[in-house]
Amino acid sequence: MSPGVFIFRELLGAVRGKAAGLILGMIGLLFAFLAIFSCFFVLGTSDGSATGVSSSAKAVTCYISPKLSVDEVQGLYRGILARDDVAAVTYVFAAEISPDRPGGAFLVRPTDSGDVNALVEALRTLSGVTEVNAGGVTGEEIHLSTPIRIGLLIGLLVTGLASLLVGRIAFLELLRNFSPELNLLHLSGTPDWSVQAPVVWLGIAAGVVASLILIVVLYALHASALSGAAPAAAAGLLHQGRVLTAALLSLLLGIIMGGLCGGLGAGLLSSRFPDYS
Amino acid sequence: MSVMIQVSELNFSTEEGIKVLEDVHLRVDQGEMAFLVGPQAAGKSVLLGLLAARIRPQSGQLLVCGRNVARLTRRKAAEFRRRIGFLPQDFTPLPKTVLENVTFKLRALGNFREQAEEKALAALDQVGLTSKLNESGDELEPVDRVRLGLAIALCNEPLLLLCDEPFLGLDEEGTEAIASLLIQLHSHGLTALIATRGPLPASLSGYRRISLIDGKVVGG
Repeated sequence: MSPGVFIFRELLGAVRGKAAGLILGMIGLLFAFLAIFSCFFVLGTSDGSATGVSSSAKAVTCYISPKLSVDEVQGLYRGILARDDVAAVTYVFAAEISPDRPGGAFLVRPTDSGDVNALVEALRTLSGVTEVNAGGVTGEEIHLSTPIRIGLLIGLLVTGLASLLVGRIAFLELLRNFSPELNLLHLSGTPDWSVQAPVVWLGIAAGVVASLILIVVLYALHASALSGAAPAAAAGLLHQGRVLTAALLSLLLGIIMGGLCGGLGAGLLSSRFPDYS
Repeated sequence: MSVMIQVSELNFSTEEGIKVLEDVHLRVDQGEMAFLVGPQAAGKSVLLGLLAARIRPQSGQLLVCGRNVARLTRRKAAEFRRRIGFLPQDFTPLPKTVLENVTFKLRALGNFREQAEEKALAALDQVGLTSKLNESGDELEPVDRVRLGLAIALCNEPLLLLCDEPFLGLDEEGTEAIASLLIQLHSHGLTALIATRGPLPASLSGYRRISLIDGKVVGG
């Protein structure tokens, strides 16, 4: 076991009393920060009611047979895209729209002047198409209103700064608990990094814990959204791709924010617990 | 005989400009045990801190174990401290068992568990604490605390032992026990510089004493 890992374990042992409460507070604030961040991906409406997007720009969902070859899917794609009343076509896996459904689907966005009903009827006649529904959303169609965006940005800033502040206080308290060990480590000639690195690791661990909790919550909401319980203002929850993006970026951001909190804690080692100064 | 500590023209002042050490010259040879004797606030702890690279020197020359302490970077100072055994005046054991107190230092320096326990047991045997391995370090009697501090200082076989007030707070019997222990360690070849404010016990009267008064070396 490397000295860093040993000291990390010892440092975990010092997480008690006030320091433990503050670290939990830091995890809570990091969770709030990441939750607000993920709102940018899952919040928003698909019907344009909150955004002013015209209803004629609604997508048409066109399910295709799973038995089609790649070339046949390509041919269908090109054929639909070539229509005058179609603005864009996106291929998705059918399971992204409806779990357990095999094959793929096209999310077809009509032009503003296009007649959705005529398009639906026309698509139903195409060979290889199994089902066509008016309605459905594409990732591009979910929009957030400007006031909500501003609110989220302010929330992000406040929770981000609060988590750094609470993180700094938490690490100060933790290092006070750990000061007898720190004195002994300094006396023994332990290299600086082997004390600083575990403090940063602990911050990263807190960020990862906050991210994992958020990921569990996101997927629970995604599952309930697929079963029809999604609020209209959180249409992004219906999209596996958006939820996955939110989860992965939250994990990355959690690691970065936790690392920053840990970095502040490691900085305290030289400012509050000086050695050879 | 090679020189273990060579100090010359050493001066040290506090941030407020109060002189703590003034033109200190000092030499301790390898295998020698010397006592730095002086009243409280004479500068003994600062001098030991400088020798152990715990305090950054301001001026003068400090050669310890062949290294110029005044030129050490922060990283090199940490490396250097691994070669010095230091018993601080305010030594407080960790709230762990006696054995764990010693293995803590060894494991933090990269020793595996078995290796750390082996070295810790050897050091505890050296200071006569093997019968108290599982006692809590922070519940030991004062004399055993000093023994534990010495075991921690010696567990990685340092080239030099620096002790700051090892007899402070001990009764006559405890003082004599620690004095005997130091004599025994010295007989095994240990080089040591020991700072103390009180009169030396009779058993240590044959050792060299260096008097430090108001930051100046008076004798030795």
